Amino acid sequence: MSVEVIRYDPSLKEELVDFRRVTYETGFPESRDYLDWKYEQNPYIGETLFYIARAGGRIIGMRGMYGTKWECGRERDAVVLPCADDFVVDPEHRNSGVVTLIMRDALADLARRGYDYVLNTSGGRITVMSSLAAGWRSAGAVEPMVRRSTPERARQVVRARVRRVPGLWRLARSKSANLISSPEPFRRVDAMGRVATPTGGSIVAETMPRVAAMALLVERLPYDGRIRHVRDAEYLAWRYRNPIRQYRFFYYEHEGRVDGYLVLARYIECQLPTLPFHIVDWEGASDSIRAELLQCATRVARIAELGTWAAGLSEADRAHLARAGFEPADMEMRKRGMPCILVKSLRGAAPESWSLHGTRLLDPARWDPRLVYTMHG
Amino acid sequence: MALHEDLISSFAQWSPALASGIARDTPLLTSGRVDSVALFQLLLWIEGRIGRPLDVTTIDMPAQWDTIDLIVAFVEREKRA
Repeated sequence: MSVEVIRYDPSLKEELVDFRRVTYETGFPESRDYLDWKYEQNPYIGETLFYIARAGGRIIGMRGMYGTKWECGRERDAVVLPCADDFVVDPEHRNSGVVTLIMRDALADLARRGYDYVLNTSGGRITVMSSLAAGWRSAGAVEPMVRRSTPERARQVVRARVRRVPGLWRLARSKSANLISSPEPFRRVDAMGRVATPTGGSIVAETMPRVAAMALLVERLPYDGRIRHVRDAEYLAWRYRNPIRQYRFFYYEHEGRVDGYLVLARYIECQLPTLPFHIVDWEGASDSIRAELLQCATRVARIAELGTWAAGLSEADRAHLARAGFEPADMEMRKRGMPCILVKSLRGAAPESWSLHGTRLLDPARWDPRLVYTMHG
Repeated sequence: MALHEDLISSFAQWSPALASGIARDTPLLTSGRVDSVALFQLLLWIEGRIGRPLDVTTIDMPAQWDTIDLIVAFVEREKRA
Protein backbone atom coordinates (compact mmCIF):
# COMPACT_ATOMS: atom_id res chain seq x y z
CA MET A 1 0.00 0.00 0.00
CA SER A 2 1.36 3.40 -0.97
CA VAL A 3 1.90 5.79 1.95
CA GLU A 4 2.31 9.54 1.59
CA VAL A 5 3.32 12.03 4.29
CA ILE A 6 1.52 15.33 4.04
CA ARG A 7 1.43 18.61 5.95
CA TYR A 8 -1.51 19.62 8.04
CA ASP A 9 -4.14 21.93 6.73
CA PRO A 10 -7.31 22.87 8.60
CA SER A 11 -9.50 20.74 6.32
CA LEU A 12 -7.87 17.66 7.94
CA LYS A 13 -8.72 18.69 11.46
CA GLU A 14 -11.86 16.61 12.00
CA GLU A 15 -10.29 13.49 10.52
CA LEU A 16 -7.17 14.01 12.59
CA VAL A 17 -9.07 14.45 15.83
CA ASP A 18 -11.10 11.31 15.09
CA PHE A 19 -7.98 9.35 14.20
CA ARG A 20 -6.27 10.39 17.39
CA ARG A 21 -9.32 9.61 19.50
CA VAL A 22 -9.71 6.13 18.02
CA THR A 23 -6.05 5.18 17.82
CA TYR A 24 -4.35 6.93 20.71
CA GLU A 25 -4.37 4.78 23.80
CA THR A 26 -5.67 7.39 26.20
CA GLY A 27 -8.81 8.26 24.24
CA PHE A 28 -9.05 11.66 25.90
CA PRO A 29 -12.33 13.33 25.03
CA GLU A 30 -10.48 16.66 25.19
CA SER A 31 -8.44 15.79 22.12
CA ARG A 32 -9.57 18.74 20.02
CA ASP A 33 -9.02 21.36 22.74
CA TYR A 34 -5.72 19.79 23.65
CA LEU A 35 -4.40 19.89 20.08
CA ASP A 36 -5.67 23.46 19.60
CA TRP A 37 -3.94 24.59 22.75
CA LYS A 38 -0.64 22.82 22.20
CA TYR A 39 -0.16 23.55 18.52
CA GLU A 40 -2.41 26.36 17.29
CA GLN A 41 -2.07 28.56 20.37
CA ASN A 42 1.63 27.79 20.89
CA PRO A 43 3.59 31.02 21.46
CA TYR A 44 6.77 29.94 19.64
CA ILE A 45 5.82 28.24 16.39
CA GLY A 46 2.97 30.02 14.69
CA GLU A 47 2.24 27.23 12.24
CA THR A 48 0.63 23.96 13.27
CA LEU A 49 3.23 21.29 12.53
CA PHE A 50 1.61 17.91 12.07
CA TYR A 51 3.25 15.33 9.83
CA ILE A 52 0.47 13.08 8.66
CA ALA A 53 0.77 9.70 6.92
CA ARG A 54 -2.10 8.70 4.65
CA ALA A 55 -2.78 5.45 2.84
CA GLY A 56 -5.91 4.10 1.19
CA GLY A 57 -7.62 7.47 1.53
CA ARG A 58 -7.29 7.74 5.31
CA ILE A 59 -4.90 8.85 8.02
CA ILE A 60 -2.71 6.03 9.35
CA GLY A 61 -0.19 7.99 11.40
CA MET A 62 0.75 11.40 12.72
CA ARG A 63 3.43 13.21 14.63
CA GLY A 64 3.19 16.68 16.07
CA MET A 65 5.93 19.26 16.70
CA TYR A 66 5.14 22.11 19.09
CA GLY A 67 7.30 25.08 19.93
CA THR A 68 9.52 25.38 22.99
CA LYS A 69 11.97 28.11 24.00
CA TRP A 70 15.09 27.24 25.97
CA GLU A 71 17.74 29.38 27.62
CA CYS A 72 21.22 28.67 28.90
CA GLY A 73 24.47 30.32 29.93
CA ARG A 74 25.21 33.49 31.84
CA GLU A 75 23.66 35.65 29.15
CA ARG A 76 20.49 33.55 29.17
CA ASP A 77 20.78 33.01 25.43
CA ALA A 78 17.44 31.75 24.19
CA VAL A 79 16.56 29.50 21.27
CA VAL A 80 13.26 28.16 19.94
CA LEU A 81 13.28 24.41 19.31
CA PRO A 82 10.54 22.12 18.03
CA CYS A 83 9.50 19.43 20.46
CA ALA A 84 8.15 16.13 19.14
CA ASP A 85 4.96 14.76 20.63
CA ASP A 86 1.70 12.97 19.84
CA PHE A 87 3.17 10.12 17.84
CA VAL A 88 0.27 7.92 16.80
CA VAL A 89 0.37 5.11 14.23
CA ASP A 90 -2.53 2.83 13.36
CA PRO A 91 -1.72 -0.60 14.89
CA GLU A 92 -2.16 -2.22 11.46
CA HIS A 93 0.69 -0.12 10.12
CA ARG A 94 3.26 -0.57 12.89
CA ASN A 95 6.56 -2.27 12.03
CA SER A 96 5.95 -1.39 8.39
CA GLY A 97 8.21 1.63 7.99
CA VAL A 98 5.49 4.25 8.58
CA VAL A 99 7.18 5.53 11.75
CA THR A 100 10.44 5.99 9.87
CA LEU A 101 8.66 7.61 6.92
CA ILE A 102 6.92 10.18 9.10
CA MET A 103 10.02 11.00 11.10
CA ARG A 104 12.32 11.33 8.08
CA ASP A 105 9.88 13.74 6.48
CA ALA A 106 9.41 15.69 9.71
CA LEU A 107 13.12 16.01 10.43
CA ALA A 108 13.89 17.11 6.87
CA ASP A 109 11.14 19.75 7.05
CA LEU A 110 12.35 21.06 10.42
CA ALA A 111 15.90 21.32 9.08
CA ARG A 112 14.59 23.30 6.09
CA ARG A 113 12.86 25.63 8.52
CA GLY A 114 16.24 26.41 10.08
CA TYR A 115 16.11 24.53 13.37
CA ASP A 116 19.32 22.87 14.54
CA TYR A 117 17.84 20.38 17.00
CA VAL A 118 14.58 18.71 17.87
CA LEU A 119 13.63 17.55 21.36
CA ASN A 120 11.27 15.07 22.90
CA THR A 121 10.56 15.66 26.59
CA SER A 122 7.52 13.42 27.08
CA GLY A 123 8.21 10.15 25.30
CA GLY A 124 6.92 6.90 26.76
CA ARG A 125 9.04 3.76 26.58
CA ILE A 126 7.95 2.80 23.05
CA THR A 127 8.61 6.27 21.67
CA VAL A 128 11.97 6.41 23.46
CA MET A 129 12.97 3.06 21.98
CA SER A 130 11.85 4.07 18.48
CA SER A 131 13.70 7.37 18.79
CA LEU A 132 16.95 5.81 20.00
CA ALA A 133 16.72 3.36 17.11
CA ALA A 134 16.49 6.36 14.78
CA GLY A 135 19.62 8.02 16.17
CA TRP A 136 18.18 10.27 18.88
CA ARG A 137 20.23 10.58 22.07
CA SER A 138 19.33 10.90 25.71
CA ALA A 139 20.18 14.19 27.41
CA GLY A 140 19.62 12.55 30.77
CA ALA A 141 17.14 10.53 32.79
CA VAL A 142 14.58 12.54 34.70
CA GLU A 143 14.43 10.40 37.88
CA PRO A 144 10.71 10.10 38.64
CA MET A 145 9.74 10.14 42.31
CA VAL A 146 6.50 9.30 44.06
CA ARG A 147 5.03 10.02 47.46
CA ARG A 148 2.42 7.48 48.51
CA SER A 149 0.04 7.88 51.41
CA THR A 150 -0.05 5.09 54.00
CA PRO A 151 -3.39 3.66 52.70
CA GLU A 152 -2.05 3.79 49.13
CA ARG A 153 1.08 1.89 50.19
CA ALA A 154 -1.12 -0.82 51.68
CA ARG A 155 -3.20 -0.96 48.48
CA GLN A 156 -0.02 -1.33 46.42
CA VAL A 157 1.08 -4.32 48.51
CA VAL A 158 -2.33 -5.99 48.13
CA ARG A 159 -2.37 -5.36 44.36
CA ALA A 160 1.11 -6.84 43.98
CA ARG A 161 0.02 -9.98 45.86
CA VAL A 162 -3.24 -10.27 43.92
CA ARG A 163 -1.36 -10.12 40.62
CA ARG A 164 0.70 -13.15 41.67
CA VAL A 165 -2.34 -15.31 42.48
CA PRO A 166 -3.63 -17.24 39.43
CA GLY A 167 -7.12 -16.11 38.47
CA LEU A 168 -7.16 -13.16 40.87
CA TRP A 169 -5.19 -10.84 38.61
CA ARG A 170 -8.47 -9.51 37.21
CA LEU A 171 -9.13 -7.89 40.57
CA ALA A 172 -6.00 -5.81 40.30
CA ARG A 173 -6.19 -2.51 38.43
CA SER A 174 -5.87 -3.03 34.72
CA LYS A 175 -2.86 -1.23 33.31
CA SER A 176 -4.82 -0.11 30.29
CA ALA A 177 -7.78 1.26 32.23
CA ASN A 178 -8.61 4.93 32.07
CA LEU A 179 -8.87 6.45 35.47
CA ILE A 180 -10.89 9.48 36.58
CA SER A 181 -8.79 11.02 39.29
CA SER A 182 -10.23 12.13 42.59
CA PRO A 183 -11.26 15.80 42.83
CA GLU A 184 -10.95 15.69 46.62
CA PRO A 185 -7.30 16.80 46.97
CA PHE A 186 -7.97 20.03 45.07
CA ARG A 187 -11.17 20.61 47.07
CA ARG A 188 -9.05 20.43 50.20
CA VAL A 189 -6.56 22.87 48.68
CA ASP A 190 -9.37 25.28 47.73
CA ALA A 191 -10.58 25.29 51.34
CA MET A 192 -7.11 25.97 52.74
CA GLY A 193 -7.11 29.71 53.43
CA ARG A 194 -3.93 31.59 54.34
CA VAL A 195 -1.30 29.65 56.30
CA ALA A 196 1.32 31.43 58.39
CA THR A 197 4.82 29.92 58.17
CA PRO A 198 7.69 29.74 60.70
CA THR A 199 9.86 31.95 58.47
CA GLY A 200 7.50 34.91 58.80
CA GLY A 201 5.70 34.62 55.50
CA SER A 202 2.43 33.04 54.56
CA ILE A 203 1.21 30.59 51.95
CA VAL A 204 -1.98 30.85 49.92
CA ALA A 205 -3.30 28.52 47.22
CA GLU A 206 -5.13 29.71 44.13
CA THR A 207 -6.66 28.21 41.02
CA MET A 208 -5.06 30.64 38.57
CA PRO A 209 -1.41 31.34 37.85
CA ARG A 210 -0.02 34.75 38.81
CA VAL A 211 2.11 34.72 35.73
CA ALA A 212 3.73 38.13 36.19
CA ALA A 213 4.74 37.42 39.80
CA MET A 214 6.00 33.93 38.94
CA ALA A 215 8.03 35.19 35.99
CA LEU A 216 9.45 38.00 38.12
CA LEU A 217 10.53 35.53 40.79
CA VAL A 218 12.24 33.26 38.23
CA GLU A 219 13.97 36.34 36.79
CA ARG A 220 15.35 37.56 40.10
CA LEU A 221 16.47 34.18 41.51
CA PRO A 222 20.13 33.22 40.90
CA TYR A 223 20.59 31.25 37.67
CA ASP A 224 23.43 28.78 37.15
CA GLY A 225 23.20 28.73 33.35
CA ARG A 226 21.87 25.20 32.94
CA ILE A 227 19.52 24.53 30.04
CA ARG A 228 15.96 25.30 31.04
CA HIS A 229 12.75 26.44 29.44
CA VAL A 230 12.14 30.18 29.44
CA ARG A 231 9.51 30.89 32.09
CA ASP A 232 8.32 34.36 31.24
CA ALA A 233 4.75 35.59 31.60
CA GLU A 234 3.88 34.71 28.00
CA TYR A 235 5.02 31.12 28.44
CA LEU A 236 3.39 30.62 31.83
CA ALA A 237 0.08 32.08 30.64
CA TRP A 238 0.04 29.59 27.75
CA ARG A 239 1.45 26.66 29.68
CA TYR A 240 -1.14 26.65 32.43
CA ARG A 241 -4.04 26.70 29.99
CA ASN A 242 -3.42 22.99 29.24
CA PRO A 243 -7.01 21.72 28.95
CA ILE A 244 -6.32 18.17 30.14
CA ARG A 245 -4.79 19.32 33.39
CA GLN A 246 -6.07 21.24 36.38
CA TYR A 247 -3.64 23.23 38.50
CA ARG A 248 -3.37 24.62 41.98
CA PHE A 249 -0.77 27.28 42.71
CA PHE A 250 0.75 27.62 46.17
CA TYR A 251 2.36 31.05 46.67
CA TYR A 252 4.73 31.96 49.46
CA GLU A 253 4.25 35.65 50.20
CA HIS A 254 6.34 37.94 52.36
CA GLU A 255 5.67 41.67 52.71
CA GLY A 256 3.41 41.61 49.68
CA ARG A 257 5.92 39.89 47.42
CA VAL A 258 5.85 36.36 45.98
CA ASP A 259 9.07 34.70 47.19
CA GLY A 260 8.19 31.16 46.17
CA TYR A 261 5.64 29.00 44.45
CA LEU A 262 4.77 25.34 43.98
CA VAL A 263 2.40 24.07 41.29
CA LEU A 264 0.31 20.92 41.67
CA ALA A 265 -1.17 19.44 38.51
CA ARG A 266 -4.01 16.96 38.19
CA TYR A 267 -4.92 14.83 35.20
CA ILE A 268 -8.70 14.80 35.22
CA GLU A 269 -8.45 11.52 33.36
CA CYS A 270 -5.37 9.41 32.82
CA GLN A 271 -4.22 5.92 32.05
CA LEU A 272 -2.15 3.81 34.37
CA PRO A 273 0.71 3.74 35.15
CA THR A 274 0.56 7.55 34.71
CA LEU A 275 -0.01 9.18 38.08
CA PRO A 276 -2.92 11.64 38.23
CA PHE A 277 -1.12 14.22 40.41
CA HIS A 278 2.30 15.84 40.07
CA ILE A 279 4.36 18.68 41.37
CA VAL A 280 5.26 20.31 38.06
CA ASP A 281 7.22 23.35 39.21
CA TRP A 282 8.72 24.51 42.47
CA GLU A 283 10.68 27.69 43.11
CA GLY A 284 11.66 29.66 46.19
CA ALA A 285 14.05 32.37 47.30
CA SER A 286 15.52 30.04 49.95
CA ASP A 287 15.71 26.38 50.95
CA SER A 288 13.36 26.99 53.85
CA ILE A 289 10.73 28.64 51.62
CA ARG A 290 10.80 25.68 49.21
CA ALA A 291 10.60 23.28 52.16
CA GLU A 292 7.59 25.12 53.61
CA LEU A 293 5.81 25.12 50.26
CA LEU A 294 6.37 21.40 49.86
CA GLN A 295 5.28 20.66 53.40
CA CYS A 296 2.15 22.78 53.03
CA ALA A 297 1.11 21.33 49.66
CA THR A 298 1.54 17.70 50.73
CA ARG A 299 -0.11 18.23 54.13
CA VAL A 300 -3.14 20.06 52.76
CA ALA A 301 -3.77 18.14 49.52
CA ARG A 302 -3.23 14.65 51.06
CA ILE A 303 -2.79 13.09 47.62
CA ALA A 304 -2.69 9.29 47.55
CA GLU A 305 0.07 9.16 44.91
CA LEU A 306 1.96 12.34 44.08
CA GLY A 307 4.70 12.29 41.45
CA THR A 308 7.55 14.61 40.55
CA TRP A 309 11.05 14.53 39.04
CA ALA A 310 14.29 14.71 40.99
CA ALA A 311 16.74 15.23 38.12
CA GLY A 312 18.32 18.65 38.25
CA LEU A 313 17.33 19.33 41.87
CA SER A 314 19.88 20.52 44.41
CA GLU A 315 20.92 18.21 47.25
CA ALA A 316 18.85 20.38 49.60
CA ASP A 317 15.72 19.96 47.50
CA ARG A 318 16.29 16.22 47.17
CA ALA A 319 16.51 16.09 50.95
CA HIS A 320 13.24 18.05 51.22
CA LEU A 321 11.57 15.48 48.95
CA ALA A 322 12.96 12.59 50.99
CA ARG A 323 11.77 14.14 54.25
CA ALA A 324 8.32 14.62 52.71
CA GLY A 325 8.19 10.89 51.92
CA PHE A 326 9.08 10.87 48.22
CA GLU A 327 10.82 7.74 46.93
CA PRO A 328 12.32 6.78 43.56
CA ALA A 329 9.60 5.49 41.22
CA ASP A 330 9.39 3.59 37.90
CA MET A 331 12.33 1.45 38.93
CA GLU A 332 12.00 -0.91 35.97
CA MET A 333 12.24 2.02 33.57
CA ARG A 334 14.99 3.74 35.56
CA LYS A 335 17.22 0.66 35.12
CA ARG A 336 16.87 1.16 31.37
CA GLY A 337 17.72 4.89 31.42
CA MET A 338 14.11 5.98 31.04
CA PRO A 339 12.17 8.19 31.15
CA CYS A 340 14.55 10.70 29.65
CA ILE A 341 14.84 13.84 27.55
CA LEU A 342 15.70 13.06 23.94
CA VAL A 343 17.62 15.21 21.49
CA LYS A 344 18.41 14.89 17.81
CA SER A 345 20.56 17.08 15.62
CA LEU A 346 18.93 18.19 12.37
CA ARG A 347 22.35 18.96 10.85
CA GLY A 348 23.88 15.51 10.99
CA ALA A 349 26.60 16.64 13.40
CA ALA A 350 28.41 14.13 15.63
CA PRO A 351 26.58 13.75 18.98
CA GLU A 352 29.57 14.86 21.05
CA SER A 353 29.37 18.28 19.36
CA TRP A 354 25.66 18.90 20.00
CA SER A 355 25.35 22.14 21.96
CA LEU A 356 23.21 25.23 22.56
CA HIS A 357 25.29 28.40 22.67
CA GLY A 358 28.27 26.35 23.82
CA THR A 359 26.36 24.33 26.45
CA ARG A 360 26.61 20.60 25.79
CA LEU A 361 23.20 19.10 25.10
CA LEU A 362 24.07 15.52 26.00
CA ASP A 363 25.51 16.30 29.43
CA PRO A 364 22.76 15.70 32.01
CA ALA A 365 24.54 18.02 34.45
CA ARG A 366 23.88 20.90 32.05
CA TRP A 367 20.09 20.50 32.27
CA ASP A 368 17.50 21.69 34.77
CA PRO A 369 14.60 19.46 33.68
CA ARG A 370 11.16 20.13 35.12
CA LEU A 371 7.80 18.56 34.52
CA VAL A 372 6.33 21.91 33.57
CA TYR A 373 8.60 22.03 30.52
CA THR A 374 6.99 18.84 29.23
CA MET A 375 3.56 17.60 28.30
CA HIS A 376 3.62 15.45 31.45
CA GLY A 377 3.14 18.74 33.27
CA MET B 1 23.11 -20.34 15.28
CA ALA B 2 20.35 -21.13 17.80
CA LEU B 3 20.22 -17.51 18.92
CA HIS B 4 19.85 -16.32 15.32
CA GLU B 5 16.95 -18.68 14.70
CA ASP B 6 15.34 -17.88 18.02
CA LEU B 7 15.50 -14.15 17.26
CA ILE B 8 14.09 -14.52 13.74
CA SER B 9 11.16 -16.57 15.03
CA SER B 10 10.65 -14.08 17.88
CA PHE B 11 10.38 -11.22 15.40
CA ALA B 12 7.73 -13.20 13.53
CA GLN B 13 5.75 -13.53 16.76
CA TRP B 14 6.09 -9.86 17.63
CA SER B 15 4.76 -8.72 14.28
CA PRO B 16 3.24 -10.66 11.37
CA ALA B 17 4.80 -8.10 9.03
CA LEU B 18 8.19 -9.39 10.16
CA ALA B 19 7.33 -13.06 9.67
CA SER B 20 8.77 -13.27 6.19
CA GLY B 21 11.87 -12.04 4.52
CA ILE B 22 14.17 -11.43 7.46
CA ALA B 23 17.67 -12.68 6.81
CA ARG B 24 20.61 -12.39 9.18
CA ASP B 25 21.82 -9.25 7.41
CA THR B 26 18.46 -7.57 6.75
CA PRO B 27 18.51 -3.97 8.02
CA LEU B 28 15.78 -3.83 10.64
CA LEU B 29 16.10 -0.45 12.33
CA THR B 30 17.57 1.76 9.64
CA SER B 31 15.01 0.44 7.15
CA GLY B 32 12.16 1.16 9.55
CA ARG B 33 10.94 -2.44 9.46
CA VAL B 34 11.15 -2.68 13.24
CA ASP B 35 9.66 0.10 15.31
CA SER B 36 7.34 0.79 18.21
CA VAL B 37 6.33 -2.20 20.33
CA ALA B 38 8.58 -4.71 18.55
CA LEU B 39 11.59 -2.65 19.62
CA PHE B 40 10.64 -2.93 23.24
CA GLN B 41 10.07 -6.66 22.80
CA LEU B 42 13.52 -6.87 21.27
CA LEU B 43 14.93 -5.14 24.34
CA LEU B 44 13.22 -7.68 26.62
CA TRP B 45 14.50 -10.53 24.44
CA ILE B 46 18.07 -9.23 24.73
CA GLU B 47 17.74 -8.70 28.48
CA GLY B 48 16.43 -12.26 28.82
CA ARG B 49 19.57 -13.56 27.12
CA ILE B 50 22.08 -11.47 29.05
CA GLY B 51 20.26 -11.82 32.36
CA ARG B 52 20.04 -8.17 33.40
CA PRO B 53 18.30 -4.91 32.49
CA LEU B 54 20.01 -2.74 29.89
CA ASP B 55 20.34 1.03 29.96
CA VAL B 56 19.23 1.60 26.38
CA THR B 57 20.36 5.22 26.35
CA THR B 58 23.99 4.05 26.37
CA ILE B 59 23.58 2.01 23.18
CA ASP B 60 24.04 3.22 19.63
CA MET B 61 21.09 1.19 18.35
CA PRO B 62 21.38 1.89 14.61
CA ALA B 63 25.01 0.72 14.75
CA GLN B 64 24.61 -2.16 17.20
CA TRP B 65 21.12 -3.58 16.65
CA ASP B 66 20.39 -3.09 12.98
CA THR B 67 20.57 -6.74 11.87
CA ILE B 68 20.11 -10.19 13.37
CA ASP B 69 23.87 -10.73 13.17
CA LEU B 70 24.61 -7.45 14.94
CA ILE B 71 22.06 -8.14 17.69
CA VAL B 72 23.42 -11.62 18.35
CA ALA B 73 26.97 -10.27 18.42
CA PHE B 74 25.79 -7.62 20.88
CA VAL B 75 24.24 -10.30 23.11
CA GLU B 76 27.41 -12.40 23.03
CA ARG B 77 29.51 -9.37 23.98
CA GLU B 78 27.18 -8.38 26.82
CA LYS B 79 27.16 -11.93 28.17
CA ARG B 80 30.94 -11.84 28.39
CA ALA B 81 31.02 -8.35 29.95
